Amino acid sequence: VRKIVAGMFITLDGVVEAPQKWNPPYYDDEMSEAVQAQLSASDTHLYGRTLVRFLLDQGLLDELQLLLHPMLLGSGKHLFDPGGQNVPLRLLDSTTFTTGVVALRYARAA
Amino acid sequence: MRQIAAGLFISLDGVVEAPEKWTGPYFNDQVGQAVGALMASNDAMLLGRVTYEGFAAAFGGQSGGMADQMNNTPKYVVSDTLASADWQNSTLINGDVAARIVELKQQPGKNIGMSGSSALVGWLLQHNLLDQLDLLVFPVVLGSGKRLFSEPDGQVPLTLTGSEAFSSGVVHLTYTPAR
Repeated sequence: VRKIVAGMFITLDGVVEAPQKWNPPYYDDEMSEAVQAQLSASDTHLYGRTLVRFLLDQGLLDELQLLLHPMLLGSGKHLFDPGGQNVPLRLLDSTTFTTGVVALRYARAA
Repeated sequence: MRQIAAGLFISLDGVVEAPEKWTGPYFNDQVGQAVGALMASNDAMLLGRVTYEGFAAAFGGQSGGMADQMNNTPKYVVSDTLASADWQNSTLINGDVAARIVELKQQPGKNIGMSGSSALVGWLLQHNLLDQLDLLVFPVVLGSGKRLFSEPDGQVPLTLTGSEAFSSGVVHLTYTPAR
């Protein structure tokens, strides 16, 4: 069965909007490899923050991969806007990059 | 110099409000040890008004383990609306808050811990007065509740100094200000 995997750049305050504006200082070879690995594991891409939330709420998202950046933005769209459900997840693994970015991989809680 | 160290429970969507409602299922010995170690490095607390009032209501006038500790610990509450801080061993900080906090850091003692108080944590981060931020990231998306940080145009870069994943899926991340 194919999996639906969502990968997002995210800040410590949960902002995902316009990562090209804030992730360059952290985008090194290690990060590039992580992104490439994720892209090469896929043959179809779905886009949209709202879609990720919908799939998560419906129990249709198999994996959520977050690249957590060591910064607070204070403004910008969040990955999850208020009003959704409480969705428990299961941590599959975490990797710390030298830039301070932490790669977190979650699956739905069984 | 004493450091100000804030510890917060946070969800994957950045929510820090009412952790007692959503941390329970993930609170194992490892999480307890991490929290205990953070508390042991402090001998005073710095709190925002909302958290202060919540703690005062929960522990004031009570006795025994946690209540004794909370009542006996020197507490500093930052507020422009409180007229006085009446919970025992409490000191009100208002006026030139930044200057008062710098003075506090120059006094002898262990670290000054912060619990909850997310608005104050955000303010201290923006004013470069927070020395350490420990986040215990819980594997849950909440969808509602107050977030850690909501200062417009308040970008704050940090340096990751520690990360550890616990078996319950909680990740303990330690940050210091990026200088």
